[in-house]
Amino acid sequence: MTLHLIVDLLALISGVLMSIWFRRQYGLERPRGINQEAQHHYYLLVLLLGLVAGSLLLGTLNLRLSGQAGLAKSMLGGVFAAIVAAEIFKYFAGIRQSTGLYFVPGLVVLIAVGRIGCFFAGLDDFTYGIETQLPWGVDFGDGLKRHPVQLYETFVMFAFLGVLLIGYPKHPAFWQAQGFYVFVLVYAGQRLIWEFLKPYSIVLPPFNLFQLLCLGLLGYAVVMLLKTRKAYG
Amino acid sequence: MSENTYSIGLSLLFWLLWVVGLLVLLLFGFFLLATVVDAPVMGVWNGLVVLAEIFVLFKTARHFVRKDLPLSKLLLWIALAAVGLPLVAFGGCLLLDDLQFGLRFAG
Repeated sequence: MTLHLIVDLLALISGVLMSIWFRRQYGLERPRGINQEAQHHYYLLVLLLGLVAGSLLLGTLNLRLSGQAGLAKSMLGGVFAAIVAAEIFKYFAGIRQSTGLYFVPGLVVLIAVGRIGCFFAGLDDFTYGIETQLPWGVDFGDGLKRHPVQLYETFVMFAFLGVLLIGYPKHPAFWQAQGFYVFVLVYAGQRLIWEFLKPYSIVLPPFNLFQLLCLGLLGYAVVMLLKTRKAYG
Repeated sequence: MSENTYSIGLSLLFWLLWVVGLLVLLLFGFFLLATVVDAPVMGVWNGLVVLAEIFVLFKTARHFVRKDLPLSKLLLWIALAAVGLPLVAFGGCLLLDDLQFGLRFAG
C-alpha cells in the first residue's frame, strides 16, 4: 500500500514533468481551439470533475460487480468519463478541433508509471491477472503464478510514448489533428486485451465492465479518426 | 490589484468547494494524528496532504477576497483541492477495503 502510494506520487510528478516538457518543447500553450483563459480554466475543471467522478463510480462499480465491497478508483473509468465530459463541453463551447493531444504525453507517463505501483501492491489492489503457466508469471503472495497485466500495460504505454516522441517532430500536423484519437485507440485496444486476463466478473458475455468501456472508447476513436482524416487531409 | 467581477452563483460554488476542501483537510488531519506514531511513512504522506490543502485553501481564499485573479482560475484550484487532491491522496486502486471497517490509511 505504502509502495503503491509512493509510486503513485512518482507517476503524478513524472506525468506533470513530461507534460510541461512536451508543451514547452513544441510551444503548446493551450489545447487547440481553446483561446480564452477563462474557457481554458473551465475546460480543465470539467475534465477534472469527469476524471474524478468516472474513476470513483466506474472503479467502484467494477468492484461491486466482482463481488467485493469497498470503494475503488479506475484510470480507465476516469479517462472514459473525462472524454465524455470534454466532448460535452466542446459541443456547447463550439470547439470542433481535437484538444486532447495537449494531455497525452503526461497521461501516458502517468499510466505507465502508475501501473508499476499497482504491480507492487499485489493482491491488495485487485489489479492482478489470472493464473498462468508462462515463465514470466508472478506469485503475488497466494502461491499462484499470475499474469503481471499491470506491467503489460506499462510496456505498451512506454512503447506508445516512444512512437509519439519520435513521430511528433516529423508529423506535427497529424499528431495535433489525430494524435489524441490514436492514443485512445491504443489505450483502449490494449486494455481490452489485458482485461481478458483479469479475474473481473462478466457483465455482457464475454465482456466485463471495463471491456465494455474499452469498446465504447474504441468506437469513439475510430469515428473521430475517420471524421478528422478529411480535415487533416 | 486588478478588479475582477465574480458572479453570485459561481462565488457560491467556489465557497461550497472551499468547504469541501476544508473537510478534506480535517479528514487528513485526523489521519495524520492517527498515523504519525505507528505508521510514520503514512504520517509523512498525510502531513504533506494537509500542507498542500492548507496552502491551496489559504491562497484561493486570499485571491477571492482581493479579487485579483479570474474566478475561473480560482474554481479550478479549489476543485483540485476539493476532489483532485483527495483522489491522489488516497493512494492505490482500492480506497476502502470494506465500508464497514472504514478507511485503510495505515500502510
